[in-house]
This record gives sequence, C-alpha cells and structure tokens, in this order.
Amino acid sequence: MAHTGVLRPGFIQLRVLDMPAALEHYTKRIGLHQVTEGPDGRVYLKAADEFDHHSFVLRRADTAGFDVMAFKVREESDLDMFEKRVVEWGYPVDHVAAGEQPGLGRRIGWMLESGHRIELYHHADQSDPKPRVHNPDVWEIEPHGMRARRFDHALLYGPNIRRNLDFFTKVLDFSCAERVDMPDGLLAIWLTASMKAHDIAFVNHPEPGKFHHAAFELENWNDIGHAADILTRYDVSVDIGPTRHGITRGQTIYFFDPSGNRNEVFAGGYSYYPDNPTRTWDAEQVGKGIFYYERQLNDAFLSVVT
Amino acid sequence: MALERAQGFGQLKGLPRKLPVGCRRGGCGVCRARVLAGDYRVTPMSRAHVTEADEAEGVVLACAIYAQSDLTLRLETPSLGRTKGPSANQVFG
Ligand code: FES
Ligand SMILES: [Fe+2]
Repeated sequence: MAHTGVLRPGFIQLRVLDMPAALEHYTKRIGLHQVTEGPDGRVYLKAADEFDHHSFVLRRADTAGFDVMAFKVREESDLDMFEKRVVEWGYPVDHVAAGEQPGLGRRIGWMLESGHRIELYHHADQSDPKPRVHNPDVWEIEPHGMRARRFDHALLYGPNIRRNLDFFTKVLDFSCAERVDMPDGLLAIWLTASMKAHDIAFVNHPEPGKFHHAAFELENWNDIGHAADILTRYDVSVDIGPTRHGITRGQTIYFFDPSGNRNEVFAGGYSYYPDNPTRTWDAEQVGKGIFYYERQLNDAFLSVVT
Repeated sequence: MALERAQGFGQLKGLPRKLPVGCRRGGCGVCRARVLAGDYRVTPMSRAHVTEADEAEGVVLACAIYAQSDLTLRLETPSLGRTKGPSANQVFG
C-alpha cells in the first residue's frame, strides 16, 4: 500500500447568497448531481464519477466564501494518529460527530494560521450516481454540463502561509510541488498528498480565511473548450481563460458562481511523485507561472476573493 | 441591466472612470460604491462588504444593482494595497 495517510480532498463547503441560483450553476452548468439536502438546508453535491457520498457542500448565508475543506484518510486509525500530531504541533483539535454531514463518519478539525478550517475523516458511504465496478462502462449516465469528473483542489488566501507549508509537510505528510518566492518572501505554495500536482494551494494575503477558487477536473482540453462554450451560452461571469498554468501545467478557465465564489475547470497537469524536487518560480516569471499564455497576472488574481 | 454588464456592453458612455470589476456577482466587494442620487434595484450582496446599515445609507456593490434612473455613484473601493503588483508582504487596510 504505497499511498497512506491523507488520500485526497474529500469535500469543500462554501457559502452562497442564493441557493436556487447556486444549485442551477453547480448541477446544470458544472454538471454535478444533488445527492441530498440536510435538515439545516445545506445541500450535498457530487460528480457522477466519484464513489463517495458527496464532495461539494453549499450553505446559504449572507456572505460568500469558504467554510471548511476536508481530506479523506486511508484508515480509521489515521484520525487518531493525525489528531496526536496536530495537537503536538500546537493547534487545538475538535471533533465533529458522525452524521453531522449525511453519509460521513466522524471528523477531526482545526484552524490553520491562515484562518482556514481543515478537517480529516475516514468513513464515507457511497451514493448514486457512481461508477460501476464490474465490467464498467466509461459512465453510467451521460455526463452533462461541463462534465466535471471530481472536485479536484482549492486555492485559499491568507497570512502565515510559511507556517501552512511547514504544517502540511511536517504534520500531514504532504509535499510541496511548486512555490513562488518574491524578493520579500514566500508568495504561494502548491501542496500535494498524492500524484496530482496539487490537492490544495495557498497564496499569501493579509486578510485571513479568504477563498480564491475551488476546481473541478475535466477529462481534457477539448472539454475545457466545451466548458467555455457553456460559460458564454449562459452568460456566466468569466475571470480568465481558456488558458494554461505554467505551475502544475493544468489547462484551465477561472469563472464565478452566482455568489461570486471563483470556480475553476482544470484538465491535465503533470504527475507528481513524492521524491520529485519542488519546482520554484521567481518574481520575474510569476506571470507565466500563473497564466502561461498571457505571461502576466490579471488584476483579479491577487485581489478578487470571497 | 447591472452596471458592470452595461459597461461591458459599452452602454455606459462617458463615465468619469471605469467601474472596478471582480466577480460581477456580489461576492468579492471590489465594486463597493455609494449611490448619491438615483433609483436602483438590488440583487443579493455579500454582507461582508455591505452591511444592512450600509445598504440603508445607499452603499451598494455596483455589480449587483440595476439602475432604474440616472445614477450618481462614488466608488468606495476597498484598498488592499495590491496596486503595485505582487508582493509577499501586502499592506492591508
Ligand atoms: S465585482 Fe465582486 S462584488 Fe461586485
Ligand atoms: Fe486551481
């Protein structure tokens, strides 16, 4: 068993201003499926290519933005092991009971110094739609909308990301696949627990707890083009793209949900092995690192967050 | 039509300056402004950027209002110290 401990992003929970508009966006445009609505009004979504109960949670609120991102661990006992390590690192850990989100087992959670809540859990029920496992077709039901295959990663903005780098690498056993260093310090980090080029990323930002984007994986560059067609057809607010990131090499579009939360559709990206060295970018080339074809940052990249 | 869209379609002629554009959906706050005169209709705006008291005083997110008459706006763009390009030590406030 080569891949132990933290397996992958499990779910992200975002706040939305208008739930019906959000559901239309995430189910019809992005192509997710609604699994269920909880008694408190939170709505649980998934991609049809995912086995687990849900991967995307929407909560109606008066502000947009980020509530929590959770990672799935390989074994139930990993929760106790990581709780010990997080507490030893100095962050208080709290417990969320099984069933607080439908279909999920118990979770442990804590706050990063960037102002973001992170959780770990092990158990998830499966839900429909999901891939068949015996003589599987490439899909059970026809992909719709942008044909999102999974919730892939998130980029979060906040202070103290140097501490996040140490925490994720030393306590959660992530690797830093890429980083951007400015003359006055660390600007951004791309962290992976897997063979993906990133599972979570952070950009240094004065205000804690901010959200830059949540990304959905698409199959290929052609599907990115199809997603762009949908964005224009339905007059969705686009930030940039289709383009490519130099960092991770992923092909991408950034756009906004009806509450102003940024989404990304992402295809490709290199495979990361844990013995690979960290790729580094400097101030002169950071534009190419973020938007490879434009070779410069747009105004919104560093300033528009929820 | 929301102001930012009207601007994007070139339907707002002779503005003294461009309206700031971020998410265009009432979430990020970069288009915060105060309406000094005129009538408008609002769509949902994040309370992180416009409180109920702000809203009562005519503070809006320009991307989230639909003009019902000529409007006079004063921009109240949040200053994030990010105008000089990327830096690891941004000044906030
Ligand atoms: S542009 Fe984001 S709130 Fe108006
Ligand atoms: Fe991304």
